[in-house]
Amino acid sequence: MATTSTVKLRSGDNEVFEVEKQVMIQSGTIRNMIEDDAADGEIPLQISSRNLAKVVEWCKCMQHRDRNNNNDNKEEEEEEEEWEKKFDEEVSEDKDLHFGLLLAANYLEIPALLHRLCQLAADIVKGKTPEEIRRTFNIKKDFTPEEEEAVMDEHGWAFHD
Amino acid sequence: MADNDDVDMFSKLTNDLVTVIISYLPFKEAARTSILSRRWRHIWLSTKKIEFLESFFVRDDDNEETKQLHRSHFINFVHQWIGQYNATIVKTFRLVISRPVNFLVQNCISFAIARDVKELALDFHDPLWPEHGSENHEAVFDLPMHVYGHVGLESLELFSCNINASRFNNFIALKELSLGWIQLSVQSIRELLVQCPFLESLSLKKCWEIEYLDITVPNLRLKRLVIDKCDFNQYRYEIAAPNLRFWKYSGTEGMFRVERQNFLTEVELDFALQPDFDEEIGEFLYELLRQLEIVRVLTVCSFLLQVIPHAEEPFGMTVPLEVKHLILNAGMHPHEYYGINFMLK
Repeated sequence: MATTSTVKLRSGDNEVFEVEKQVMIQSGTIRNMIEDDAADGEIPLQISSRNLAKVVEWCKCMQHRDRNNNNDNKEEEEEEEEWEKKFDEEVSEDKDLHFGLLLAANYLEIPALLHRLCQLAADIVKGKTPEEIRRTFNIKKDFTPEEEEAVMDEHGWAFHD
Repeated sequence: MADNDDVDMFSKLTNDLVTVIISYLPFKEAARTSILSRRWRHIWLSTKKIEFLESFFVRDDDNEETKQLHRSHFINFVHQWIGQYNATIVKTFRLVISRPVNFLVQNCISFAIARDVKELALDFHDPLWPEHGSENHEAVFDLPMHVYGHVGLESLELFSCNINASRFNNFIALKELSLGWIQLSVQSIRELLVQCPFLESLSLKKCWEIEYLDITVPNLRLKRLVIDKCDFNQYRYEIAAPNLRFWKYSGTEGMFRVERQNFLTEVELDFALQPDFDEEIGEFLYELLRQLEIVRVLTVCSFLLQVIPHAEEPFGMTVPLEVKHLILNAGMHPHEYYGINFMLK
């Protein structure tokens, strides 16, 4: 096992983050590197410093929460809920951040973060018409009118209330 | 950073990631994503949240003959859909059909269990049964035996589907249990609570012929308890769940004993089902409120507002409640006036 208790992460735009290993083992990718003693130098990541900073912040918060899970401190519980709510809002309002984090969480193998982000993406899709969804995410409709009609026919039940 | 104004946000995501997102959508909305573009046409067919509701095909206001026809279309659809499914894991499986046919249910359950389903819901109650009615409806189906062997289940919802509580001993991972529209005994409820030590949420809706309510098994982890329009033989309700956070009660009033609630923060009370109006009831409800002194969010009904001033203490609690949010579902009834005063004091 390596001797230091921290790990250095280098972002795609060359910013270095030094983080406790205990925090970063939530990432399967980094955990494997630590276990293989491959985390002694800097770990280069194709993730922007902005997104990486957010991932690290999230991991710290979750680790703090897991550590405190047993002492039922109501105030801390509320504080953490407040933090998560703010995180959710910030991500939902900024699609570049949202999808950047999604890819980062996928690459770093942080399932809890990945699922949270996917859920937030689904929340944005929910209740929107297909046209609204396309506009929100810049999805290009590439169906021919015949193909579109075929899809409507096939899943007619889903398109009327 | 440059604004990615015309880049398709999903273009960097693999189909597997898109499937994860779609799996958080209700099934019907997931199906609608098929119209977005060619890429999206078939992705939804791998969603891990599968919900077959006969209301997709059957309308409540159709006559029985038309309903039967549409129901058979629905059944064909279900069979076709699960026939094409090629993912190996299903997270949620829900089947809602008011005239369940055995082979359909068996087929669906085998499909879901083979894919290690975590959340299973079977709803066979007839949407035409009135929720506020007093008649009890026999369950139309018995939970198939092989469900009891599925150890990985985390959430189970059964409406109008009989259970055998003594067979719940495999459900050690079960966190949420919701039962509705069945006959249930106090003994079965106790057995369920003992067999499922990790249960965090229990909901009973329109269950009937329960002797009385007894949620007092030792070492309960229960955080959420919903008792919704159930029919009890005796109006006696006993709850001792030390981890309870949320409790909703809707039904007839009676003798409540709510003990050891150190974390109970939110309570909703609704006695709209109460048929008669008896001054003695005020005393019972006063006693109930007295036991809810640490609750932060409290919702009360018109009935409580009308009755509470008839208790021995007509102007307010002798020990004030710690409520931060008080929600009064008032019915604009003149008799509520003193009750509102009472609660605001």
